[in-house]
Amino acid sequence: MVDSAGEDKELVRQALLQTSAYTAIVKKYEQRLLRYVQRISGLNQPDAEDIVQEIFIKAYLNLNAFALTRSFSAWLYSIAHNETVSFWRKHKQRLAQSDLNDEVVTNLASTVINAGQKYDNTILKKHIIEVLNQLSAKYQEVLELYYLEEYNYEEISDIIKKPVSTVGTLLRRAKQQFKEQYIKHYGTTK
Amino acid sequence: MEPLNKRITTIIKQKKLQPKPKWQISLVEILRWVVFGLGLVLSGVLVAIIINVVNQEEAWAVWQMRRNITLLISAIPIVWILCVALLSVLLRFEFKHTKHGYKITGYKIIGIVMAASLVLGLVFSVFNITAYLPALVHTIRQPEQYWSQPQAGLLSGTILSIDHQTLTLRDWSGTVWHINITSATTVRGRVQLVPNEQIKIMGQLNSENIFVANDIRPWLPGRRLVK
Repeated sequence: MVDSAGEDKELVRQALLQTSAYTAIVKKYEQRLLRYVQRISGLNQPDAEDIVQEIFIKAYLNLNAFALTRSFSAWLYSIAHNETVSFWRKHKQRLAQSDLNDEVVTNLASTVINAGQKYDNTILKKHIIEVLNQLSAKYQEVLELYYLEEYNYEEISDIIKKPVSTVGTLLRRAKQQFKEQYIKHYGTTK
Repeated sequence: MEPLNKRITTIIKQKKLQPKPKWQISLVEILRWVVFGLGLVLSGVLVAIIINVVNQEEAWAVWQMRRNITLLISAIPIVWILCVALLSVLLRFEFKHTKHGYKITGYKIIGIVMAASLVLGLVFSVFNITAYLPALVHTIRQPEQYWSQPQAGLLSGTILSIDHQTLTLRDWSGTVWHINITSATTVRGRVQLVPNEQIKIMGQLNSENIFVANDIRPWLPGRRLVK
């Protein structure tokens, strides 16, 4: 994950001294978190914004719990993960997935299903979204965190609160299932 | 509509929210570790009770003489073992909620808890800690139950009186037995055969309330597992 770690830590130090400095953190992460929450929950913009608002308030209240030796963005995402999961548990429903950007499509296509340049990107994107929607939430989330947010195993472990070895297993199974579902619906990718 | 970042800043200012102080966050973490530590000590005590029960039952000695698998199985302190297993699972969840608890898999935590409980249990046994916890130890009267199977040749209780080759014994349920002692009866080291002494007897049920003793042992454990 390309994380401006030093900058984040400085922002946290300032936010602990004066509330107004926290705005810089919110501005930096609000759009990323909004996309993340929408992707893993499938919520519409206003509902996702409400969750993101809760995430930032909770993060602010627990700012002293953040260890400066860790990645701030992974810590923030772990709160986002918990909030979204608790929302999902309360509502017990999963709405349609939101859009994926081209970068994720290319990433998934080349690394998981070896699609390369053979497919029209628009069709490929549609197929990938359909297949992703069929995966269970835990597999979708690790794929999102790894391919879209570009977190490494250790950071994903901090976010979803699972051991690194479990993250590896989840990711391997997610890729396997994604590939199987893709082949099942759209034939071989070779 | 107000941008999200402004909304958040407004809420923080309006509600005068402040980050929780470091001491409060540390205190929660410390309390979790204290609960975990106390749970581990309790688990160690339970293991010490298991060791105590196993010592007192002397099931292996009974097995060598009787070769009765049902009798051997009935000696397993299953309730105490289940208590340790349940506590290990609870401690796993407690550990998971510590700051870095999620980094270790559940099975590893349970393994570590059980290993630590075993070590603590052995240490507590060496110091005979169960002697200070009679109420807890006697919650389940496992050795009493095991040594109250006259049909299978096991009897125990308190000596009421002794007269030549017969002693009178009251078992744990209050039944009075007449025990025949023969020249073939082995009386183990610490047994004095005096009134009020608690003993366990291996032998045969002769007729109602009459028991022929082959082997008389002291009731209290010999602690040979730890000594």
